[in-house]
Parts: sequence; C-alpha cells; structure tokens
Amino acid sequence: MRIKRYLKLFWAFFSFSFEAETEFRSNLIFWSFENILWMILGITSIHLIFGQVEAIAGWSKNEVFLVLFVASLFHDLCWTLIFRNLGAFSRLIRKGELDNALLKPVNTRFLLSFKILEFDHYVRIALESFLIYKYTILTTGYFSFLNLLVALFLFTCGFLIFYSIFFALTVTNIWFINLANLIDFFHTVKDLGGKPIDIFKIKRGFLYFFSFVLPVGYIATFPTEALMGQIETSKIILAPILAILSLWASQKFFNFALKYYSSASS
Amino acid sequence: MPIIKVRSLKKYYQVHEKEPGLAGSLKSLFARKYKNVKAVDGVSFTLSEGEFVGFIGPNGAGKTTTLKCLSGLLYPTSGQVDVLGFDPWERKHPFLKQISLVMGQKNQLWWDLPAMETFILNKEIYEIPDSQFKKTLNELVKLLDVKKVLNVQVRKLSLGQRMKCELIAALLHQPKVLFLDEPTIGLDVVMQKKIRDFIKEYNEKFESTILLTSHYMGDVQELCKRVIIIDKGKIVFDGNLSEIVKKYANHKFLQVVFSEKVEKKDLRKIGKVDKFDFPKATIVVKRSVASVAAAELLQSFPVADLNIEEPSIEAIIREVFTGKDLA
Repeated sequence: MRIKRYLKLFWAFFSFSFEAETEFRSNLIFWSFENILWMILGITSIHLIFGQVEAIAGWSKNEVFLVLFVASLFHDLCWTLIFRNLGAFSRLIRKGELDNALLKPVNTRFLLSFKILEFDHYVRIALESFLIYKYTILTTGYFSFLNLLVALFLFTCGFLIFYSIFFALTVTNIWFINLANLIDFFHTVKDLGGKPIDIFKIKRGFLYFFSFVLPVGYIATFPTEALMGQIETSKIILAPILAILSLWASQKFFNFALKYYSSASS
Repeated sequence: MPIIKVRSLKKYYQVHEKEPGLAGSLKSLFARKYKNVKAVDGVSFTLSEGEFVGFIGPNGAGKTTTLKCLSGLLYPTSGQVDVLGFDPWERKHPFLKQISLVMGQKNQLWWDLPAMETFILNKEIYEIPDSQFKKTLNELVKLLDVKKVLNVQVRKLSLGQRMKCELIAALLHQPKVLFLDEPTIGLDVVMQKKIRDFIKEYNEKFESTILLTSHYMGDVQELCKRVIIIDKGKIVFDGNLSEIVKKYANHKFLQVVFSEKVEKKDLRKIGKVDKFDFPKATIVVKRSVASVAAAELLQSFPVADLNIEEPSIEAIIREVFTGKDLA
C-alpha cells in the first residue's frame, strides 16, 4: 500500500512538473536541443582521443563510446529526477522553506528529492537509449535482454549509491547553510565514472578507492560490462549491499541533522 | 482534556555576531563571536479543544519559535510538548495529518501553476478521500470567495488572493489544530477583515483549536477570548483579554468637553492632563478614584459632556511590551 501511495505521489510530481515546465515552451525546446550539443561535444572528444590511441586501458573505441552513453544516461536521469531538488536544498535551508516539506505527512526525503522533475533532457535520454542499444550490438554482435536486466539492476544500484552520497552532502547545508555548488562536485564524480574504471589501475590505491569507497564503476563501467556479458558476479552481489548501506546511512544522517535545523526568520 | 500541553519549553540558539564591513568579514573568517539566544525560555501553557487563543508579543519575543516547536519543525532544547497526544518532534504522519501551520510570509503554492494544482497535490499528500476533498474545497472556496482565481497561475494573483489560496491549501485536510503565524501580515484593512471573518467562521464550523500570533490587535480582539503574552521568551500573561485591562491598566481617561473657558493648570488638581485643546481635554486618573474625580470635575468646572473610558487594548499591550510603569 505504501509503495502504491508513493508511486501515486511520484506520478503527481511528474504531472505537475511537466505542467509547470510546459508553461515556458521556448525554454523547454531550447534546453532540450542545447543538451544534444553537449552530447556531440562528448562524442567528438572520444573521436579525437582515438585518433591518437587504439585503446584506453584495454577498452576499444566502441566500448568507450558505450561507457560514455551509459554515463550520459546516468547524468541525464540525475538531472531529470534529483539535481534540481537537491541543488535547491541550500536555498530551502537559508530561507526556512524546508518548513513546508517537514510539515507534510509524507517521507520528507522523498518529497525533497523528487518534488520537481526536469524535462530538458528527455530528447537526449531517448537518443542515448538508442545509442546504447546500437553500440551494444556493435561491441558484442548481439543484444541480450538478460544482460540488459542485469545492467539495469547495476545502473539502479549505482543511481541509489550516488543519490545517497549527494543527499548526505546536501544535508550538511543544515550546518553550513550555503553549499550551493555541490552540483559541481557531483559533475566531477560523474565525469570520473564516465570513463572505464580500469584507467585507475595506474595506482593500486586509486582502483580500490574508486571501486569501494567512491564506487564510480557503478555509474557506467559495470552496467556496460553487464550489457556486454562481461560483468563479474562479485560486482553484482556488492551492488545492492552498497546501495542499501548508503541509503540507510544517509537517512540516519538526515534524521540526526534535522535536530540542528533552526528554520529562518519569517 | 487539553489538546495542547506545553511544559517548561525551552529553545536556545547560538548565533554568530559579525562586525559590519569588510574588516569584520575577514575577522569572522578566523575568529567568530557567538551569542546564545534564549528564544523560548521556560514556556508552559495548555489549550483545550476548540479554543481560539491569541499568542502575542513584541518582535523577537519567541512566538514563532514556540509555534515551530509545537508543529515539530524545531527540536526543543528542553521541556515537554504534547499536541494531540503526539510528540511533535517525531513528526509522525498521523500527527501531521491533524495539524497545519500557516505562516503569513511563506507559501506552499506552486508558483507557475494555478492554485488548484497545489490543492490536488495536497489531496494526494494528505490522502483526502475524493468526496471529502470536493466538499471541503467547495466550502472553503465559497467562504473565501476565490472561485474565479482557482485556475489562474499563482504568480499572477494579488497578495490577498494568494493568501486566501494559501489558507485553503492549509485547511483542505481539516486540521484539528491550526497554528496561524501572522496570517494577515501585509494585507490591506479590507482583506484583513475578510481573513478574520473566515478564520472565525472556520473555527465555529470545524471546531478546530487555533493558536494565532499577530501584531494586529484587531485580529486578537475580534477572534480571541483568551490571550497569552510572551516577552523575551517567557510568558507574562495568560488569561482572558478583558483581564489585561484590569491587570495592567491602573488608570482611566476622562474625556471632557467644556462649555466655558478653563485653564489647563486648574485641571491638574483632578489628574494628569494628557491632552488639552479647548473645549476638549483628556485627563488621566487612577482607576480607583475615577468616579470621584469625575464627580469633582462636574462640580468644579463648566462641563458640557463627559465620558469615562478605558485605555485601548492596543495601548495597554504596547505598554506591556515596552515595560512601562502603568500605575
């Protein structure tokens, strides 16, 4: 029943966000296609690199493209679902607008994370989904729905891990009040995850850190390996453990932080 | 059976004091000065079901902080709060479904969409059944007369229209306890009256318990029989509005109109001359001797008209806030 209720609420947020977004049609159209230009830049940079080398850390050009598209999809889903909400958290704290969310009989974290959705990226998401399909076939010669399911599972776990990390960092605004540039930090993390994780093998400590402490592999590398049917079982087992742990820890931290929330002058 | 119980509630903050200017900013980077603020300092009171209580005090007295502790927004430093049998801080959903906090300066309506969309969203959030939602919405829309603006973008509404829609959004779930923090602030006198009338009617119709803060004495006088006065985080008065006059006003005003010329200095034997603009004068006398003073005035001076008046509630409250001796 609770899941049904939250799905219904999410649908309400989706509908209202879409209605609000379509009030400004020119803005929506402009940003929908502007985002594609960024995608073209990303593709161009890979082409330029592979003009100089045959492979990056053992990954071929098509495989690196596949990682790029999965990472871009991750980035666009984050923008659609959570960035705008979590990015606004510092404003909510500074102006005491968190009060409205705390007074509602609904999970506060859910409300803060998903209330407003963005629709600028839907064109790119559609394009990326198609390119992921195409490049999976280019790299492996086939497309397996089982591999797709495993990839989606890892992708979802990766999303939950990074959403939890980002959420926990955002919560520190309760003390620091004006950490408005956390999105820049997340872009950096996403950029790290947009490359095959094997590039970190250059230093042993790096690979360990980016596999378990800040597991950027789950952004794109591991879902890509799953699509190609090359994922290790240990990574599949570890994914939900990390996701559940990070969700639990960030929720505990949020509950603790709320004791220090002091609202703002009305 | 009290519906709200507050016992020795305290809320202290630490705030950082910065000296003005660039030098002050640079200094605060390395050595910050902090000050302890006792926003609420041992407040205790109870409210029964259906009561409508005014909660007044000067700016910075602790009114809004108290309301925020009662609604679960702030974690008390110490003390006990019980609202509808719940600890507000736990913010359990059954508790939140029965309360509402309306803050005059803050809004919950979606800015780019008509108010109706927020109402529909709140219906989902509060899990209000369809039939109850329609019935309550119709009643509130009728009471506040906002049918024509329901489907207009909120950012295009006037302040008064927006405030009415905010009230509807806050009351759709028919809360049993309503915390109103300056609901008429910034509104013109006509709109203030409309909002007051609505709140009064809402209290009578839905029998909700209401705690109202306001700087407009008109709000308090029209709506509340009981008043709690808070100053510097402590309660200084808790009782009926009429008792404020008896407790704090030790004087009365003799408003007199003279039929012939009198000298101001001659009136001083009656009492303190507050205003003198012949033929009118206002003389302040002690409450206990008001009738005697009035009789002496009538006997000794050519009086055309005489009224004995109480000081206004507003004047008394102002005196209480400024700590003046009212004797």
